Amino acid sequence: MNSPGVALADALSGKRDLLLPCVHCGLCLPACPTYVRMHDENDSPRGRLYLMRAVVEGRIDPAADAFQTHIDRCLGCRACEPVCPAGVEYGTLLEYARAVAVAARPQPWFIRTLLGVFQRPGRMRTVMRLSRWLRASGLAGLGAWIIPRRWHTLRMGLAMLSASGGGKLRRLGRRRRAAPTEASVGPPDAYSALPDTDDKDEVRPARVGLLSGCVQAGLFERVNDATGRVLKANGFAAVTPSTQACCGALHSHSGDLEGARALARVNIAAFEGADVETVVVNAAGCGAAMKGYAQLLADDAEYATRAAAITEKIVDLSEILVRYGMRKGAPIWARVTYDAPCHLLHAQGVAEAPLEMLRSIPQLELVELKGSAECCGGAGLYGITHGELAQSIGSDKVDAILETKAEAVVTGNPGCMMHIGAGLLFRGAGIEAIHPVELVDESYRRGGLY
Amino acid sequence: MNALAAVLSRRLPEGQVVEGFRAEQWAVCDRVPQAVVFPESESEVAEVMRLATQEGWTVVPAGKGTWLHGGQPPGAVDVVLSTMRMDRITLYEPGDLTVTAEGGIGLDLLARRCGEHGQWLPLDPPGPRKGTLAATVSTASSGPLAYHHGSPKDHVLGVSLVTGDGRVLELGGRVVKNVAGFDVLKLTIGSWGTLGVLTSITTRLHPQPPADRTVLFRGEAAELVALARAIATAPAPLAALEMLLPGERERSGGPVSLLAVRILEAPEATDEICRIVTDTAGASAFRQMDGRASADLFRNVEALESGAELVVRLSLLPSQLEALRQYACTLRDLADPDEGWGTRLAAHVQNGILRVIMSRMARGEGWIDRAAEVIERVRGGLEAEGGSLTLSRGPCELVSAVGAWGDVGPAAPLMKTLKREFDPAGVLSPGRLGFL
Amino acid sequence: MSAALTSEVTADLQAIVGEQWVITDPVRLLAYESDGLTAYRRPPGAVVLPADTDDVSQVMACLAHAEVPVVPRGAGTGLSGGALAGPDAVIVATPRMNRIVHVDPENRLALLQPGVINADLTVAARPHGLYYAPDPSSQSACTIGGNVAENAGGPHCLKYGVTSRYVTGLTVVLYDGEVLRLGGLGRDSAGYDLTGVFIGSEGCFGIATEIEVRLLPIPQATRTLLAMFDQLEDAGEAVSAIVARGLLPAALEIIDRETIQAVEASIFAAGYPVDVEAALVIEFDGIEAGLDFEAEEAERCCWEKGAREVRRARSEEERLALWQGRKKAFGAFGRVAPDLLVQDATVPRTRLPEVLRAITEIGHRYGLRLANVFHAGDGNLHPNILFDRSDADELARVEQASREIMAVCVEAGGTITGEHGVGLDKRGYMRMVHSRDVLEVMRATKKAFDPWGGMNPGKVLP
Ligand SMILES: Cc1cc2nc3c(=O)[nH]c(=O)nc-3n(C[C@H](O)[C@H](O)[C@H](O)COP(=O)(O)OP(=O)(O)OC[C@H]3O[C@@H](n4cnc5c(N)ncnc54)[C@H](O)[C@@H]3O)c2cc1C
Ligand code: SF4
Ligand code: SF4
Repeated sequence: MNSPGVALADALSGKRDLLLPCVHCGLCLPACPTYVRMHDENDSPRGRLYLMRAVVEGRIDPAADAFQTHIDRCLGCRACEPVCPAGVEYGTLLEYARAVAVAARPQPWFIRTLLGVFQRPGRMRTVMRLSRWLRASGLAGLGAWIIPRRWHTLRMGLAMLSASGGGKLRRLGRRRRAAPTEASVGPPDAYSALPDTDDKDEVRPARVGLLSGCVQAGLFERVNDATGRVLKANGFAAVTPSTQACCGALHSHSGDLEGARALARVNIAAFEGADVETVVVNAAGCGAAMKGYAQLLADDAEYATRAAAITEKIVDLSEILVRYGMRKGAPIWARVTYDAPCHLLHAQGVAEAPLEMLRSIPQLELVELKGSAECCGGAGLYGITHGELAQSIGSDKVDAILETKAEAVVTGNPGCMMHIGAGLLFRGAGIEAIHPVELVDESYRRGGLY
Repeated sequence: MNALAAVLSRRLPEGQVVEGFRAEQWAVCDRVPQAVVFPESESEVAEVMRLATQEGWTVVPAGKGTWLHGGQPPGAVDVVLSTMRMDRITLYEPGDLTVTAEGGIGLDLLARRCGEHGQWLPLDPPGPRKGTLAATVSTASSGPLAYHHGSPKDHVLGVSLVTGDGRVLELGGRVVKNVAGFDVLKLTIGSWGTLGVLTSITTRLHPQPPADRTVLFRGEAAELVALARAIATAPAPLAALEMLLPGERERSGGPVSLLAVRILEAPEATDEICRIVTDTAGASAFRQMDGRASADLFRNVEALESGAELVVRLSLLPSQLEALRQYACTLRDLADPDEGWGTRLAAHVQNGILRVIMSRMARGEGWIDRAAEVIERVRGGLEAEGGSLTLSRGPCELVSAVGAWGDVGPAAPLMKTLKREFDPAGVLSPGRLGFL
Repeated sequence: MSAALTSEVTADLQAIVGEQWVITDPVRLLAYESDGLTAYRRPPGAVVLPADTDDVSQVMACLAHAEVPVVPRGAGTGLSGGALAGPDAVIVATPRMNRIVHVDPENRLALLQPGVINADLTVAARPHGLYYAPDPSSQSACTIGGNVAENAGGPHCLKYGVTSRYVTGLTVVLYDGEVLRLGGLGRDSAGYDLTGVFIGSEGCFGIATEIEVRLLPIPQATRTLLAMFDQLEDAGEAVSAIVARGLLPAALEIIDRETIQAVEASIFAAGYPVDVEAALVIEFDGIEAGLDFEAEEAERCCWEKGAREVRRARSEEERLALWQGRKKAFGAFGRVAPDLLVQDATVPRTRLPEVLRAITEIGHRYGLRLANVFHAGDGNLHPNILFDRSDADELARVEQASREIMAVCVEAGGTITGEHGVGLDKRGYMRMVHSRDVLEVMRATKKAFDPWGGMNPGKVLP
């Protein structure tokens, strides 16, 4: 057996129980966005698990093209998990497999550089500043238009950057319309007070921790600001410990488990220090990663229990808002559709909360998006690293969005917002991808809640 | 006694071989067999077949002889082998909802025995009820109930088949789900006695329906077609949907067309389905029949072909019912005006099958040629639209001239290979399926 | 047949379907070395992914010319090793052929490519108020082509029948590339029922490249019950009582204690009590009026036979919850033992209690863990043996025991497989149920379709 194989075998030795339950039934095939497009079983969850098993069994070398390609091509969207009758924890296994793949064959320089950046707050700030400048100057948008298709990585990167800008929200749904549907119409005295929590079993936590996130903080400051305001309006005081770091999702997804662990330790310490019972995350990918800290650090003598404790505290923004009831703001007469981020729906199992959050906005018409449960192709850096496939997946998503005739698409993850946004931009669709809290915030603002 | 009959008599027990004038009523079309045999066991059937293969006698398997004129006349008929003396129920476990019986059992007897346990075999092929199970299966015959309840291929679970050279094959089994090996059983269903003699059959049964109701609509043929199609696509389980049209050109005061909707469900559900049907029809039913009356009406549908001289089965997609009716009208002129035309059209609406049933054809100079020409034209038209025309019954010369079935196309060699496997000497009903 | 999968042949295949649709990298071929049954592993020589009938025909002609055997593959959910090919054979897989050509509500028909997933057809038919009745438990993933090849059944085939009841026509490609159109609604086909005999041919006759199926109107309503019993046999008796009362449920499914415990221990815990010996799922469907009556009758049968508890679903969620334990059973076993042997024998329904007793006894005698999941209404048993392959002694006992179980079922008038097919796995049992003459006729039937012997060689026949 070759050494990286041993490494994976080792990495998985304590996790044998994760790999073995796969009974090879194939029920996960149709759920997988890469399989339904590539039609190759190696691009299916079952196939990828089989490749992992083959490495563990020493039948193949993890440096082999096939292992590299197919493990790399996985979106990590985890759509395969809820459909698996054996409950195979694919997401976790993928992270180990990535680690082995990377150990066997290092990644391209730009990925390494990028991951490095995310690990160092100083460099991160510089990069984000540069990005914001590119975006504000309009160069990003221009670049996305004029750069030829074959320079895919650059073109996509700039488009995503440009799409992160937002800005149309203020004009959305200002004009009163005939009531769309019974269901989506709020009560006439829409500006309701904080809902009574007496009848709820749980006590509303007064203080909650908030993850700023690196991309979120860098490019989506407005989302973080909106989050703070909406939390406050609903009676939560949010604290953002300054020592917190990137959540590490990109690292573990790219096979840099050590990098991910280092960041996890930093965050654990930071939120322990903040002395909060709940840590709110407004980016699905980060939430999923943090909910995985316990698993990630399970073998870390010092951090295992601390990680488990933090994991218990992580909630998605939508979960906490909906759990304790939300105030209502002013009507927004707009038609929107919701795309479920994979890392919220599949990885965290949060399906209804974001929809409920949107339904709390008076007059907002929420139309169903076909294939909402399927990945948009964003998947962290995927849009950049796997241009063609990501674009095929993304363009199906854009088609579905356009079919709804919605004026905005709502999704609670920065990667998805950018990837879908870029897709819409390339089509010249003129609509934006926005975060659910942005809509709530706008509704509150118009309602004079702040 | 002729030589062939003599050889047979020596091999079979007393009284199982018949020849001479008593064989005449067993003529297949105009071909009188040299002998008719009535074996009483599977091994005797096998003995006859071995002998036939050895001697090169052609054998036509038969039941009670009610259907010998069906299909294409075989090239030669030396022996008719009737299974009518093999009519026992060999295994009946009502709790299994299956029954095994010898092939020669009459459908009426089988129905009686199963009825004692509140069960039935929902098969209503045209012809008299005394017809045998083996003949029904062998010709894959079914009637108005087929769309909802299935045809022989859906009911039969297993058979014993004696091949042309006397091998006894037990195909399928006794259980309702069985995928142990290739489903060779299916080949025998509808093989018209060209692959072997069915000596034993196991079939599924159903609980007898708790209620039987038929709702009748009447009206002009064309509007009834539209009504029939609307009801056929209504979201309700209908046991049968049969349209009965007079063969004459429509004239005021003439006989009307009928649409019979049969429902075989629990009483509460029956009322509900009735409501759905009348709502869909947008018209109220002209009559409703329950229980015995409903069953009798459909008994009459089964008997429609009795005594008919010509029966043509036209088939297209169910949605093309009106087109089928038009084709049927083209055939109408073949009837004998002196007999008051005497033609009836009956359609299985859900299946896209329309039968033209003529009690007597118009004869006269060159009538066979004329009939052949009309039938071929209609067949051509139907086949071009993906449909078919089957001549279920007709004067022998006519059937020989146009063939009972249309062209099989490129699958013919494959079927011939299969035929050779079951009947290496080609002694079983040669030519019964046209090319086979 | 001399196998000659040379690089020229692969190049020809690439020229036909396009380079990216031919897989030859040995590492990538590993994913194709098993189907839903992992007991067998055989990587193929190559995998080809054609797009339509024409592609298939050319691919087959090319392979026939080179005398390379062909193995069709759908989703690879089969449980008898039917979709496995050796290194000298090529898998022709249908996932790209996943188009629903049309749904025709007027005639209640659909025309499909073989790679269409069973459940997707029902989704496409639903807007027309129709659905596709055969519902194998794998329906979310298995293909219609695979269903045709295996004549698949499912929990609801007690009332509605199996795949063969719903397939009205086929386009098939034979080994030499010839395209045959068989059957089709709206025509009385002359000659033998080739459509009928093709269904269930497990890829040994040819590849089905277009399939015409009948659709049914969606039943107005359903009633679902879950009855718990302290004796497995009582559950069996209840099934007989229900049938004896003249009721025809859409489904009658039993799972035993071992299975319940496996499910309850998994993440899909369905809330079944873990100390009962059997749980019976009963479902009625049809016209709303009268369903309550049927459900009550069935409930009464259960009480009479000693049920401890009977639950009735009051909403769609509750219905799914009652089904959960049954539906998740197969996957849940993966958590309990490293290996699983799924059996699929069918016996006449009235023999169920005694056969179950015998199977339990065999399990005890060989010291094996047995978990029973079965379609009780039609006597289709799935006794699953849970074991560890790495324990050679246990493996030997498993093989012995399963042969004995088969013998018991055959003895009771049953058969060796009800819906999973023979494939590679059950060839050894074929002689238990078929005479030499019958096997010879099966062989000849295959030969009529495939005189060259190039289609899925080494399967089905012993
Ligand atoms: C969890 C689970 C539950 C199951 N439940 C059931 C059940 O309830 N009922 C049931 O009947 N089965 C069941 N099965 C078995 C399996 O799903 C069925 O046999 C299914 O029909 C196989 O379809 P597939 O597309 O996966 O075919 P594959 O496994 O890919 O192939 C099966 C066979 O069909 C052949 N084949 C595939 N496509 C074609 C084609 N187009 N033309 C010709 N031959 C072809 C192959 O050569 C092979 O022999 C279950 C399996 C699993 C894993
Ligand atoms: S659904 Fe689960 S058990 Fe089945 S093949 Fe996929 S990962 Fe394995
Ligand atoms: S994570 Fe997504 S892309 Fe990866 S195997 Fe699972 S479903 Fe497929």
